Amino acid sequence: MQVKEIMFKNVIAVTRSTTLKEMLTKFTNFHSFPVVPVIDEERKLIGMVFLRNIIDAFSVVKSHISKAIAFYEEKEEEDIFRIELDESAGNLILVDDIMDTKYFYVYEDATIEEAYRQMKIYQKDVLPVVDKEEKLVGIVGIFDIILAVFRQNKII
Amino acid sequence: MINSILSLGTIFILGLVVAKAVNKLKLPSVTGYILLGIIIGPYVLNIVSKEVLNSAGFVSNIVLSLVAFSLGQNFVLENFRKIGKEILCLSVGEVMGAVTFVTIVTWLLTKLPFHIALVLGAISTATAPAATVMIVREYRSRGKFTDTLLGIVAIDDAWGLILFAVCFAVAKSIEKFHGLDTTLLISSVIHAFFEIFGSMFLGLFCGYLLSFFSGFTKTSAEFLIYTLGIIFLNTGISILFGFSVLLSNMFLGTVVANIDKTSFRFFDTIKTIDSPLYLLFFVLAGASLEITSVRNLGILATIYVVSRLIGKMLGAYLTGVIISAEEKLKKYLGLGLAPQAGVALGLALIAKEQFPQIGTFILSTIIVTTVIYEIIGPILTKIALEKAGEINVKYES
Repeated sequence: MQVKEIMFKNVIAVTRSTTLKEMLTKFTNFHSFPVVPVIDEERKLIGMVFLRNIIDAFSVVKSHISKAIAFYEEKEEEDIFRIELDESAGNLILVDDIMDTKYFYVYEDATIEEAYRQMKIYQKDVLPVVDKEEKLVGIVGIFDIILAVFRQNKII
Repeated sequence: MINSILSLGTIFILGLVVAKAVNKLKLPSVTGYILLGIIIGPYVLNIVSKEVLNSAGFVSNIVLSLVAFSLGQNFVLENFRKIGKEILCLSVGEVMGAVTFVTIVTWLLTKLPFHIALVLGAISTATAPAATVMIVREYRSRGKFTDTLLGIVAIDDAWGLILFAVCFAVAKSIEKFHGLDTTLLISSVIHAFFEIFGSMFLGLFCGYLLSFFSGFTKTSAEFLIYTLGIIFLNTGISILFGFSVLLSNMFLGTVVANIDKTSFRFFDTIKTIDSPLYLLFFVLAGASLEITSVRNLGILATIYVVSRLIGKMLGAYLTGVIISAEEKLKKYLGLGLAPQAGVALGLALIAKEQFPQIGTFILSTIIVTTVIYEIIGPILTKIALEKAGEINVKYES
C-alpha cells in the first residue's frame, strides 16, 4: 500500500509571507497545533512550522544559530510568560522568520512501511507528503497507518 | 583509593549540583565544572581515580570530534546567506585580529618559541558562545548588535578550529624541522599541507560514507550508533595518519550537511548523548590543572588575557571600518566576544598531547585564563550590550 492511498489531502498550508497572526487564526478552533507545511507559489514544499517554532519566536536566540553553537546550554524553561513582544509582533513575525527549512518528508508513492520506518527512527508522528516534483500533496500520520492496518485486517 | 566508576558518579552528581549553584551567580555552568575539576583533582581533594584522570586526552578527542562535526553544518550556502556578509566578515576579522596580536605579543614579550606562541594565538581565537547566549537571555537584549554578536560567536569557533588546525600543523612542522631555515621551512609547509589536505580528503570520504549507508539503519538506536561509529572511525584514522582530528570532523560535518537533504538528523542524534561527555570533559580539564605551576603563570596569563581582548577588539574595529559597519558594532563587538571556554580548553588539551613538556604550560595557562574569562567575560559582554543600547528594549522588527 502506498502513502498516497491513506494520506490526508486537505492540508492547511501557509506561505513564507503569512504572518504569525494569520497562521494562528487558521488554527484557533483546533485542539492542538498541527504540523503546518509551508509552500511557494508553485505549491512546492519549502518549509515546516511546528509548535516548537512558535515558542522559539519568543526566544532571543534564533534556532539556526543555537544549533551550531558548541557546548550549548539548554535553558530550563523558555519563559513564555515573560514575553516582551508588543501587539504588532503578530503582524510583524512572518512564517519565513520561524519556519524550519530542514524537515523530514515522504514521497506519495512510498510504501506505508517505509513511511512508518521514517516516523519511528526520527520520532515524528506526522510527515508531509510530496509528489515527484516536490509539490505538497498531503500529510500522513502514524494514526493513518494504524487505521490502514486495522482496515486491512477487517478490525474496522 | 577511589575507584573509576565511583569517580564518574561523583563527577556527574557533583557536576549537576555545582552547575546549579554557579548559574545562581549568573555564571555559565562551564565555570562550575572547571572549578569542580580543580577542587576534586589531584592537587586538592584528590578524589578522582588515576584512570579517569588519564582519560582526559581520550575524552577530549571524542568531545572535540563531536564539536567539530557539529560546527561543520555551518558551511552550507543557505546558512551563509542567512548569516549574512557582515557577520561573516566581522567574525573572520576578529579571529585574525586575535591570532595575529596574541602570537606576536606573546612571542615578543615572553621567552616562548615562535611555534608555541603561534599555538597560543590560534587557541585565543576561540570564544564561548554558550556564555554569550546566557547573557543575552538573562538580560533579554534584542536588536541588530545582539543578533550580529550571536551570529559571530556561533561561527567564529568554526574559523578558530580551521585556523588552529592550520597553525598547529605549521607549529608541528616547525618543531619537527627545528627552526625557520628556508629549505626546512618549505618542508614544513609541505608537511602541513599534507596534514591539512589529508584531513579534508578523509572527512570527504567519511561524509559520503555516512550519508550513503545511513539507509541501512532501521531504528533510532542503530542510527545513533552508526553515526557515532563513522565519526569515531574518522577521528581514529586521522590520529593514525597524523591528520587533524578537528579538520577531518569539520569536513565530515560540512560534506554531509551539503550532500544530504535531511542531514540535521545526524547532528540531532549526537545531541542526545553529548551532555554527560561535555560535563566530564570540563571537569577533567579542570583536574588537569597543575596548581603548582599557577604561580609562574601570572605574567603569561595576564599577557594572554589582555592581548586577546585587544586583538579581538582591534580586529573587529578594523574590519568594521573596511565594511562600513555601524558605529556601535565597530566599537563594542570585540568586548562582547570576551568569554572563552570549552573550545579553547579542547584545543589546549590537543596541544598538550602533541607538545608534552610545554603543552602542560599552555594547558594550565588556558585553564587559568578560561576561569578568568568566564568570570569577567560575561561582565564585559553585558557592558558591550548595554553600550550598544540593546538591553531593556521593547521588541522591534
